[in-house]
Amino acid sequence: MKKNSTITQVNERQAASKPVTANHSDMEPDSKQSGRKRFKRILHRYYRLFGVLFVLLIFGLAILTALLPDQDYSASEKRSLTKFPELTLSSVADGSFMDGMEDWAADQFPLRNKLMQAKSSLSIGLGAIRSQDVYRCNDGSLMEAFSLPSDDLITSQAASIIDFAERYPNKDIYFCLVPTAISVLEEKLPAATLTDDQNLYLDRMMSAVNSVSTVIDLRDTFAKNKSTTELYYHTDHHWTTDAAYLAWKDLSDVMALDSKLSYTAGIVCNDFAGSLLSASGFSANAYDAIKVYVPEENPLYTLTYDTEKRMTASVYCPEYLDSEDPYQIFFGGNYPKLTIRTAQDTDRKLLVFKDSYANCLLPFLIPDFAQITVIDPRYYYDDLDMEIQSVGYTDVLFLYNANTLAEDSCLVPVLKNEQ
Amino acid sequence: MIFSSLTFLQIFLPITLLLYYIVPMRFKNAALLLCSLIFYAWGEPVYIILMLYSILLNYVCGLLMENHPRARKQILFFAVLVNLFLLGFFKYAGFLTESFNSIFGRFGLTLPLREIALPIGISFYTFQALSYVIDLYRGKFPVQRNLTRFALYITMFPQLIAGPIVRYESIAEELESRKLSMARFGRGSMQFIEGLAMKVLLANQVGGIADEIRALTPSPAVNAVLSEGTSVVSVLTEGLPVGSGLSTVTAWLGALAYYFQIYFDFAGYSLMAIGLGHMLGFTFIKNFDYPYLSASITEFWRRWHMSLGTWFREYVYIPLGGNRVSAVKHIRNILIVWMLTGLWHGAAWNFVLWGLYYGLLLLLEKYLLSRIRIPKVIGWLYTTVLVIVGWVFFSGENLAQSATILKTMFGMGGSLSGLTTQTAQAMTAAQTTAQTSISHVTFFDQTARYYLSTGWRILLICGICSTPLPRLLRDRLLRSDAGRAVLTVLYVALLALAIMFLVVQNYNPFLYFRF
Repeated sequence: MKKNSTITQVNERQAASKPVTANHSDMEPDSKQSGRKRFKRILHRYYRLFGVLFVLLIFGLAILTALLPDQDYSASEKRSLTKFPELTLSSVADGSFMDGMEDWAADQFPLRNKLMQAKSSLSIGLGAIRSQDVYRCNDGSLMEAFSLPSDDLITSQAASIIDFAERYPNKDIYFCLVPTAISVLEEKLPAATLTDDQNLYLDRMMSAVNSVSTVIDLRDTFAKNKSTTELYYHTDHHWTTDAAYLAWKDLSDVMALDSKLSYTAGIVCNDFAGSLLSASGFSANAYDAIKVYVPEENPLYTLTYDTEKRMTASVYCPEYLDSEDPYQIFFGGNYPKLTIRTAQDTDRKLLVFKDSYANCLLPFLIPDFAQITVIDPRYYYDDLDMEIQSVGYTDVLFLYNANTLAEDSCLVPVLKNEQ
Repeated sequence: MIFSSLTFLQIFLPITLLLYYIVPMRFKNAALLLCSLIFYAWGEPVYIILMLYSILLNYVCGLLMENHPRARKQILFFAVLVNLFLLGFFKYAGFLTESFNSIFGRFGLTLPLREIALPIGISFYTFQALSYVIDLYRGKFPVQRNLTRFALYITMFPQLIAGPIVRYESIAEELESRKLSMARFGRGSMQFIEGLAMKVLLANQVGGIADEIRALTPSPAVNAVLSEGTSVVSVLTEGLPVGSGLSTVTAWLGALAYYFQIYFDFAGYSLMAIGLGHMLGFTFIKNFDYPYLSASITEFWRRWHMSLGTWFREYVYIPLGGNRVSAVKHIRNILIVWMLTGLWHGAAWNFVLWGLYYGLLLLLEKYLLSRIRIPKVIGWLYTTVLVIVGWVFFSGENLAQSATILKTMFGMGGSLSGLTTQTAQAMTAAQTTAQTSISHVTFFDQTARYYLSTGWRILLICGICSTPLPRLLRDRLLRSDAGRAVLTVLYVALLALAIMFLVVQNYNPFLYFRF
């Protein structure tokens, strides 16, 4: 009699079972035989039960899919969801019907949002720290990765700024390239990341335009304040208004801005789920708060949306607080050209080339200029030289964050006045 | 359509099962045939005509062989020729033209190159059809007169697009009559879930790592390299004149990730096919038997894609004389079989070389190593390294890329002399500084640290799952009531997780709102 376990090899062709191990060490051969038989019967019953369960699951899913109404929009991804594809001869022949069906099935899957949250937690548990070029730090805050641009891009951007400065020699030019969270808060990143060194880029870019402009390097200020101030949103790629306030202080010194207004900060939104959240699919530990700095005394100004020929008296658009991107409370987002005309007693007029980082900084600059013209080169297709010649600008400010400028292909043609 | 898609799980599978089980027995074949044709047409709405043609051709040739016993040989010859021609034309025409052009191009001889999309599953169903006509000629079974049954043998959706390669002989009976039971269905559905989990939860996940790491390696088209006067041999010995963005550890991690990806992808797919087979009352042969535990290359190929190995043995190796011939002929036979095995996997020199590599290793084991006793652990280690190296050949976009990766893995090459600007720019700053300071391959860098720290868990899980441990656990749990309850929860969870991963794959944020 064998003391240890007996292995029964069941023929693949006969039964739908795999090798089964059974342990009946203290049984007589006869009872061993019947024990094995009994076990086989139990197995048989178990498989039957599982089969029923499987059928219930598969058909339950199918019925649920058929019954649940289609959703139109995914708030977390900020996009419309796929509708059931149109069945035509050509859409079947080229396979677009089949692809559309799979997209539809995934987009309209029951409890899709819950599944995505669960998957995100699972991935994080399994060690995922990056998704779609967004890193998740240990404290749950998200940061956008940085990748070094090509030498060509750096050279051509610098050349176009130098060329611009030489074309307009009598203007004071300021260049402020804002570092992003990934370099300022580097210590919060997980140990092993695949991001490039943003400081290398900041150094190169700043020294390239140093000869023709006054460079504002915010890194020291940010390093000093990062332990006491939230400089970046945890769920969004923007800097906070607090960070912009610090930047304004630095700019004031360099640009000789002498507005002595004092500000009170107030939270206007505390459930800000930013862009990095949707981009990465990671779940958030906490949502962000958006602050607005209110001056003790409001300077008088008008804001013109030039392309839309629309005028308002405030840079704030609180109606966007309930939208999918509450950061748009500043100016309502990005526009090709905005003009702020103030009643301040000064001759200084400022031209700004900027990305969305500028939106929460610009309000601080209003008291010091008679006019501020804000150009977002990504959407600007007008004649820049004509604009500059028609208004007597005294100052020009370039304000970008490092990530945007490193990927930007719009500033160069605008500065070269290629329309 | 593929099994690991929501369309299959949510729509196709329930409808097929419903249809298949409600029609009376005598219509079940027709119902399954219809579903299988839709399944194929889902992925290949046009090439389905080619498959139907192949079915008719082989069916008619079978009948002709039966009715004209004297011309049997000629009919077989004709059938084999047409099958091979179809396979050759649709799978290899581009490869042959390209190879011709790269060799004779310098003498001004070129053939026009036409891109032909590869019909899904053609390698599998052609081989199945061949096994039918050849075995019929050998008189192993009577001719199949029922067109539905024959068409079902070729198109049956579980094994249609990724095997196992079922020989007609093994399911001839079941095509005629088969036993359906809920127990068999349940067992099959458990295998299906196992396979689905292997594919979606393991293969797809490590596949992401493998793809990312491969993308770090420059891979100019091999033709461009060859036309500059570099021969295949020099590419292999010297690699490409560009540095790669890889360190040795990263290269190994990428190779290891691919090693697991291809196993769980292929074995998972086979297991899903076997499970679906049981659910429909068909028995397909086992295709993978823990190949990564093998202690020799010979053993590896007995456990890896077993149905393909059987096919080549039955229809190429043994007809050539197998090993019952002189040593020289035996060597010739092995090399032919393995070159063809390589070529079967894909129409590129990578695959030919990969096949020959195994042919040579098998000969080495047969004629030299069989005389020495090698401890199991050493055997396993040597087999594993050789298999990983083999997959690098297999997975590279071309020989040049594979050579670069292999050289990095073994710390060779990687001089910076020819580093192109684009490559340098593509590399991260850390890598660039690392590469400029030393002229040889970096052993460990930030990229390696990243993939190691984020990937070790999934690689470890893959390692455990390529052993019989999960099966032993399952068999253990099957033995008690509590165990079976746990097992049920576990399988339902695996199914739910797999579906969750498939849904999230479509996570597709609209990224342009950010500005």
